[in-house]
Amino acid sequence: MALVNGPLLIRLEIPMNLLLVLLALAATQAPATSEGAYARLKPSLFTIEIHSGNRESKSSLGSGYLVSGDGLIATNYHVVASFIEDPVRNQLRAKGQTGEYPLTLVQFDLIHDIALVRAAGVSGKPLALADSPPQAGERIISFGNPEGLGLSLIEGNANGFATKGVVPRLLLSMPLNSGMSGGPILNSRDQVVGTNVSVQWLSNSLSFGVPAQALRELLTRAPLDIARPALQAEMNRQLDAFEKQTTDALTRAFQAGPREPDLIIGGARSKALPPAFACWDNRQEFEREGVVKSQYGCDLQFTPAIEKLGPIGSVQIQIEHFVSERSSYGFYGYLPTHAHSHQEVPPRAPGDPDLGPPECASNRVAVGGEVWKITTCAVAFKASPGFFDIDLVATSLSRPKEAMFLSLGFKGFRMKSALDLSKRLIENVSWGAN
Amino acid sequence: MLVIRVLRDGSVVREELFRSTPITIGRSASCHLVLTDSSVSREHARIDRDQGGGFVLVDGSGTNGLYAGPKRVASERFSGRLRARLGLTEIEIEEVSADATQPISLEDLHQLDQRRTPITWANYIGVTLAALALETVMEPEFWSPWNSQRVVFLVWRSLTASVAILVFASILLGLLKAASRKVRMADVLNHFAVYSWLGPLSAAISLLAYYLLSDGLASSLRSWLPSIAVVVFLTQAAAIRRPGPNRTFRWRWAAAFLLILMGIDFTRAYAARKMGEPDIDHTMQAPAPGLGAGPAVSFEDYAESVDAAGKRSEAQVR
Repeated sequence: MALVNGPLLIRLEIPMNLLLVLLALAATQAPATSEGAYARLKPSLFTIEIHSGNRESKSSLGSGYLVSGDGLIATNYHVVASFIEDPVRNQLRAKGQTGEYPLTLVQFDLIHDIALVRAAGVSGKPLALADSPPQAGERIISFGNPEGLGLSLIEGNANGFATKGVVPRLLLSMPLNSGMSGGPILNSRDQVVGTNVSVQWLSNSLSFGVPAQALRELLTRAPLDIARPALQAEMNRQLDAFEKQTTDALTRAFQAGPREPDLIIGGARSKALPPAFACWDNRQEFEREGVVKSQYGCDLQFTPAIEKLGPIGSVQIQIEHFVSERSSYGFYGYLPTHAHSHQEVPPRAPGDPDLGPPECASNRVAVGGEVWKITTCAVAFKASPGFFDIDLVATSLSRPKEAMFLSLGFKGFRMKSALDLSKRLIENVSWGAN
Repeated sequence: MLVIRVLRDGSVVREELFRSTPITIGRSASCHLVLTDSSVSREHARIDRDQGGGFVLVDGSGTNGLYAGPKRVASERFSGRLRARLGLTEIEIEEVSADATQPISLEDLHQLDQRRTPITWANYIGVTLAALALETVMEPEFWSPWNSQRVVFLVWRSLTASVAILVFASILLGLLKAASRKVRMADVLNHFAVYSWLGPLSAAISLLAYYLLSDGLASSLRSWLPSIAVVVFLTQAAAIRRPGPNRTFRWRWAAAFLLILMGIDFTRAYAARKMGEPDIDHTMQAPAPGLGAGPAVSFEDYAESVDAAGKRSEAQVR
């Protein structure tokens, strides 16, 4: 159930796209009003490209729309991310009905995945932002330039907000395609209710938008200094703010006490996790091996991603319970292998200039009345001091033929936040009633 | 009484007792001790009683000379024992008496080289394989529910090990012979049969240490015990059939082997670090009766060590 996050939207694999295009053809039949919208809105719509000075080629492709009379164009952060990473080597340009314009970066919000760029001398009618989010079931249309093949309109329905994740997302029934990132989502009054952002991978017409409220807030911010150190400082500021927001939200949710009955994961029990997590459970019986494995896996959806570092502010939780009917000696001979398979060793290549090498610490640790073998590895971010990818695996050691297992992954977190949340999550897990 | 032993390649091939002197030695059939070697003269040497109560070995105009030890002599006085060479034949002359039987010392017993047959070899290899098999079945992973091919694995491992034992024993034998030790294959295989038990022994110590020591100490012990076992194995191998006192010799070799192993270990750790491979220890053992899961630290103490790990990663990226 992997979510195709921002950057993947504009680089969706071709077979997947073909499938989505076919589905789109089958699913939508354009009513007469759409033709009018096409003509009315076309002058306000742009294709956003990142290039390295070469007229013919581009390294990234997305969409955007005019939001002010003086040439401000809204798009996604992930469309312009590689420009923000390297504003010296990369350049931005917009292609619209009236021609091609060089762009300057004005503001970005990597958490909500939106950005503002300015095209000098562009003319066109800015699109108005809607005052309120779309009603559930409201008809909406979206524009964009899928695969750079040409301006396209897609019809669909808004379904309110997605109920998971720590970043608000419009839940849309429409088949968005790669390249449409940053295009507008409009209601029947031609008002912008959101910005195209991502689709759920391997699902039908399940797409997401950034609510217009986030853009409204971004429009109030002063333009950025686009020198490289200033951009890095702004990224660090946003990373810090998001980490605090996520940590606080999760800590509050944990402190709120028992809202729901405990989770039962085989012979283990855990206090319920905050509703922001999307969770799946699973039970496997290995008959020949005489082992029953129950697992409960959760992640935070819609977490942002930084071009060079991958997802940030994301938390992955896996809680498992094993019970074996064979010898305890052999059972404990298997557990290290299992822990090892969950220890996410460096996800990026060694010698990565943006990340430190993984450094780990192992010990037997007493937490919540249980002794755990815990191994934690940390990878430091170069450009964002104090932030890490932190990966923890813990296996209970007190019962001979039964074990609880936790695998926790924190991306782009401060050490203290990750360790505090880890302690809480481990404390939440206990043996079930026998 | 004198006993004269004829040696070939350092080993005794003939021994004769003489009750009276003189004793003539040569190729002639009339000599008391006849040597058929063509490099020996017809009447090459003679042994007479000396005035001092000892004996004297005299060159009887042998063409190829008479040697006592490395030097050529015309005559050589001796009492007790003498090694001499006539042409290409080496002899040992020893004065013997009908004294009481000497008790065997432990050192003598150690030096005793009995006849050993291929069955002895097979026994030694069998004992070595038993030690290796025990070490294998002591690994908790061997009993993992996911390891369904235990017997096949054990048989395969034993077969490859028996080939490996013979290969390593041959190499060791070659090295020892090059160091001019009077050593035979059986000696080397015997060494394997004895010291291969260091494997299961160190495994047993590691298993026990897990419950008694802190996780970090147990982990260090686990990584060092096999190296120590290897050092002991190699040091004892270097001392096989080495005459004389061996204590200093052994310590020197142990230090040398330890240094080599530490070098290898350091290089491996350095390469892993350069490759960005973290040092991860996932060792876990089932709770033991009376000992539980072993000593544990508080989460706060553990958090400090994770924080330190983070700082290490940070220090390498700045």
